[in-house]
Amino acid sequence: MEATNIVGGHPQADVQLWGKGYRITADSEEFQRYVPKDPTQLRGLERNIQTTLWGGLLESLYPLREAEISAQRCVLFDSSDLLSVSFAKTEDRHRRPSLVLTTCIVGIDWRDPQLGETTARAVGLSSRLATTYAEALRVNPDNVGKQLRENSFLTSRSFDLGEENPDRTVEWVNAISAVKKWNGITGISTPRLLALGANVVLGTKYEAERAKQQFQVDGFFDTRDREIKTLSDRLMLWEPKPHTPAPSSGERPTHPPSPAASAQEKPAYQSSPELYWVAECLQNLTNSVDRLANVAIEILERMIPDKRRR
Amino acid sequence: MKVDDLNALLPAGEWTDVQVLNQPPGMMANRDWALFAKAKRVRGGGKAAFIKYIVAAGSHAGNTTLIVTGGSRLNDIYGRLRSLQQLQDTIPIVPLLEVRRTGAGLLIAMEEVTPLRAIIDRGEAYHLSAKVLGDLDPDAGGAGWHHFDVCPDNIGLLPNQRCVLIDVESFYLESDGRYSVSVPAWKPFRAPKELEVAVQIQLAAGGIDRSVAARKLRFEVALAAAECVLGPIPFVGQNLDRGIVEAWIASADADDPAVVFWKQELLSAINTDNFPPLKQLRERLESAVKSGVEPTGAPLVQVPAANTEPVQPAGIAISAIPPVEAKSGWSKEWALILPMVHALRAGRLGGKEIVEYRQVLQQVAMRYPTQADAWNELLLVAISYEKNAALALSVVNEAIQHISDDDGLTRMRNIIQMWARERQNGSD
Repeated sequence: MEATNIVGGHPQADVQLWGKGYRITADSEEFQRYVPKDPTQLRGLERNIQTTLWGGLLESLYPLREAEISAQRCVLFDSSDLLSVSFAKTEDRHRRPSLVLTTCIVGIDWRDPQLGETTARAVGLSSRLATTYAEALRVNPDNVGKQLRENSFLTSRSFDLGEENPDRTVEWVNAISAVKKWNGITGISTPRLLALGANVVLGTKYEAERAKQQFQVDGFFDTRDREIKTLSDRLMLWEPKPHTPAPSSGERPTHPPSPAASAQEKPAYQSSPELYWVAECLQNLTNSVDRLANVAIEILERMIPDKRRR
Repeated sequence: MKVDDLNALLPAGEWTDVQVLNQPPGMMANRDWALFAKAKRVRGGGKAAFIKYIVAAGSHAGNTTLIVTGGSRLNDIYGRLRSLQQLQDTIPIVPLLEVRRTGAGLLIAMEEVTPLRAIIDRGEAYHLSAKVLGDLDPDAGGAGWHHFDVCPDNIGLLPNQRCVLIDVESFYLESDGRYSVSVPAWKPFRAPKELEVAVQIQLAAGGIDRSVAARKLRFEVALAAAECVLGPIPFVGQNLDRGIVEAWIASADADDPAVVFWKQELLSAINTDNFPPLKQLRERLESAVKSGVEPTGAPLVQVPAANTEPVQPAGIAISAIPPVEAKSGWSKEWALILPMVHALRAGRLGGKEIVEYRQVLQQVAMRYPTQADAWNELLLVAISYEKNAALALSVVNEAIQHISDDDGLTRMRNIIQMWARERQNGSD
């Protein structure tokens, strides 16, 4: 297993930046990787997404509003890394809608009881960077293009996760506890980003079953029960073992985490019960609005072809 | 040096929202020696930063410009700041986010602070008096440093409420028991005549020694702490003396224990060359304010008998408007608010009363910034009664600054941000 990259007690994350409008790693201005410029710096899951067919995925994101794009989540896993992917909306030099993508890869140890928190911070970082860099790249400023070409856009693509605010739009601690129980999970994602390779949907059973018609979906994370519900026989529970041998290179752990470990990860809500209720109501309202918006957009897409789509 | 040059100099992946500031106060800005900007540092969670780019003097520069921004001084500052960066966890310097020497100048990026001057001018610095003494105490933490120009303009409050010193070029490190001050820019009118003379004599000899530096630093920090309580010191163009101090204090609340404390200490301090450690001063101030009565016993500053002038007896007094800590505390104040809490929930408050109630809560939250109940009640009013997303976002951001480890508040902020975005999109 690759060693987890930890500096000063906090994991480090390496970031990628993708966008369009500059010729950095491709001889066109189409969607391409800007950072790192050197492909040999890429590792594991980062290399996998280089071969993604972006056309369909990006097309499905263009009609969405900025808030909807920023709300998309995708975390891919392998035995030694996790990779969070985020998108944000921007504009090209002609003020046409454009997208930036950021990824954030972190070396992990599946036995780490803080893995949920690490995931939340990695997602927090990739989301924040996507939004930030969407502004930096808006209308493709010349000085930014020059810095990207000269490789001076970032002094280092390594970021300290200890300084990041965890993403709280998903209960990552519970989600990761659930992921640890199953063998065969490649990633967990909102439906629109399933093309990146995740096979567990962050969403409802309805959304998962719909997505299954287009992608390989083997389950969904039920936020009510905080469990992953399978939709195929490709996901299998890890066999519990009494002792805890370290997972060998290239293997996932052969046992579920102890309940105690999961309990330690559970976040504490420190505000008053009254505010908790208000927060829940707001969250439910937001979820309902999002679902309604998605359905409405899908109906509109079928009824009225969008001329802006590319 | 222009804005575009600064944008080109700063890596766009490391710095965003770069906004050049027109005219911040200070010698550098007045003489066009430096370019100032605000920006957000992408790394480190996205902290707000203040950037100062000192432009190196050109070949036709005059003598004064060469002294302040000449290449050799910039190299000297660069070396000092790199050393201070290594020590910034132990000395009260504003966190330095980036220090870079380029051919055209020196880039210094530091965490953004709220200047103490602004807080004093707003009359909201009372509670910071003891904090200034504690956080800027030269005898605590890492020793061997000196800041040559301590005043409320050069003290800042970080988002985590820690006081730090800005104007980082005025920071010096001790060498062989002395501080080699390269540009002796300070405000001598804020010092008693004797202290100014002692400093000037040593500067003329090539640097100030450890004991005079300690006396100067303690006095200047204490004076800034006193301004938190007494308001800005009046500028009359001459050294601080008994008359100036008395005129300054005359407009303050004579029954306030902190005012009484500072009156005693300042009147003694201007007549002595033996200023006490700030730790003792802070403990005595805190004790006086907590007990709600004037400090008992002699002032800490021991004045030579020949110079002693009687301090006006103030008698035992309890302030008519006691400071926050002097009251019986948060629980008593909260008990006073509880009827409004119930009235709000019972629907007995109209729109105007709700706004007034919120304003009261805002004052209470600022006075007890670590009390989650105050912030939660304020959030409830903003969200559920005033239905004001921008206000709620501002409240939750402020609350998180004071109670940073509350996951509930952080989650609430995410939800409110989504709500605010929806509102924004809706209004667009």
